[in-house]
Amino acid sequence: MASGRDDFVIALRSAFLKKSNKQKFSLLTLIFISLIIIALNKFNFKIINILESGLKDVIYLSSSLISYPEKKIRVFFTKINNYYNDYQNFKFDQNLSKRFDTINLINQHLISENKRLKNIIDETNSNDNYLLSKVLIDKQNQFSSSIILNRGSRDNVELGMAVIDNGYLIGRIVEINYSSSKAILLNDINSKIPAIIEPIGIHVIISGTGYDYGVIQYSKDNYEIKEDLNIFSSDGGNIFKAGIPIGKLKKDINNDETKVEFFSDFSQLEFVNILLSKNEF
Amino acid sequence: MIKNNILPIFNFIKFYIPIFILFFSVLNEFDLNYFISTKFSFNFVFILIFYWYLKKPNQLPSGLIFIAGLLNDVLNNSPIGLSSLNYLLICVTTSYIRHITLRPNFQKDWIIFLITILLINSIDYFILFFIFSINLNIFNYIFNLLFTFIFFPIFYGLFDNLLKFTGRRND
Repeated sequence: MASGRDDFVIALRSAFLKKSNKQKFSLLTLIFISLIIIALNKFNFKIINILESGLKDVIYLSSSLISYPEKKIRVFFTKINNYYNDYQNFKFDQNLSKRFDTINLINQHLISENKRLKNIIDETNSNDNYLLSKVLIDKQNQFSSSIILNRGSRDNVELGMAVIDNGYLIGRIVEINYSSSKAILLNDINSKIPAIIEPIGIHVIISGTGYDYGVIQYSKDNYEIKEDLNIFSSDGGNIFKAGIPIGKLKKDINNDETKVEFFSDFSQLEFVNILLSKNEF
Repeated sequence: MIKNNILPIFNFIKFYIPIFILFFSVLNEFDLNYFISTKFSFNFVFILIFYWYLKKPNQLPSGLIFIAGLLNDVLNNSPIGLSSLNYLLICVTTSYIRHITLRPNFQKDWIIFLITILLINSIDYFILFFIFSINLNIFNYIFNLLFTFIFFPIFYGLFDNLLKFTGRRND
C-alpha cells in the first residue's frame, strides 16, 4: 500500500519537476508563471497592459501573415457561392432596382427635410467621418467574435467607436494599440448594445449569442415583437450614433424564439469603416 | 558540400515540425467553422500537445508551449496566461501518464485524453466565468469537447505517421 503511494508521488513529482536536457524550466515553474500572469491580468496591473499592447501589434501582424493563404481560400469559396446566388438573384434585382430609385429620391427628400427641421430646433447635426480600415484578423468562433483592424491610436481611433460595414453596424472598438485595434462584433456572446425597433419605436438591448444571430435580451416594455421589423442603433447610454441599421427580427421555426438577423455577413468582412465622429446629442 | 550544409537544417526543421504546426495552428484563424457549421469546432492544439508530449516530449519543449499559449490568449481576447495554463496542464497529465504506463496503447490514451480535456475545460470555464465574469455558453464547450474527443483517433493516426517521418534520419 505504502509502496503504491510512493510510486504515485514519485510519478507526480517527476511529471511536475523533471526537466529534459533542452528545457530550462520545469512544468511547475511554468504553471506558476501562468498563474501569476492570470492574477496580474485579473487585477489589471500596469505591467501586463504595457506588455500586452507591445506584443499585440507584432502578434496581430504575424497572425495576419500566417492567415493570408487561408483567407484567400475562404474568399475563393465565398466567391463561388456568391456567384451562384448572384445569378439567381439577378433578374429579381433588375425589377427591384427601379423601385429603389424611387425610394432613394424619397429618402433624400426626407434627409434634407430632417436637417432643415433640426436646424430650426437648434439641434447639432453630427458630421459623420469614416475611416476605412482593413480587417487583419477575423477571429470568430463560439467563444469570441472579434476582428483586428489596421487602424490604431495613430489614426485617432478611440474606444467605443462604431464599426460599420456597408452602412450596417457590426461592432465597436474595444481595444486600441498603436497601429491596430480590436473590435468586438455584435454576435459576440459578451456584446450588448442598445437598439430601437422601428417603426414601433421600442427600445431594446441586443445581445450576441456566439452564432450568426443575436437575441433581444431586454426590452423596455413587454410589447409583442413581430417578425420582419427593422432594428437600428439607438443613442441610449450614448454608446452609438442613433439610426445605424443593425438587422431584422426573425422568428425561429424550431423554438418560436425571436432572433435578430444581422444585415451584414460577419464572415465576409474584408474592409470596414470606423465611425470617427462623436455622438453629439 | 552543399548537401553537408543543407542536411542539418533539414533535419532540424523535420525534428521540430510539431512546433511549427503548433505555432501555425495558434496564429491562424481557421477553426473549421466556416465550412461545416457554426456549432462545429474542435481544439486541434489540445490533441497536438497531448500526442507529442506523450510520445516525444523533446520535440515539443514546454517553454514554447507556454509561449504558444500566450499568443493564443492575445489573439482570442482571453485572459493572458489562461491558454498557457491549459496547455501546461495537458503536459503534466501526459508526463504523469508516460511515467506510470509500461505498455501504452491507443484506447488507454484516448480515455485519458477525454479525462484531461474534461478537467482542462472545467478549469477554463471556472476561471473565465467565476473569476473574470465572462459570459459563456456551456453547450459550446460541450460541443467543442465532444468533437475534440471524436477527432482524436484521426489525428492520432496522422501524428503516428508524422512521428515516423520526423524520427527517420536523412544522412
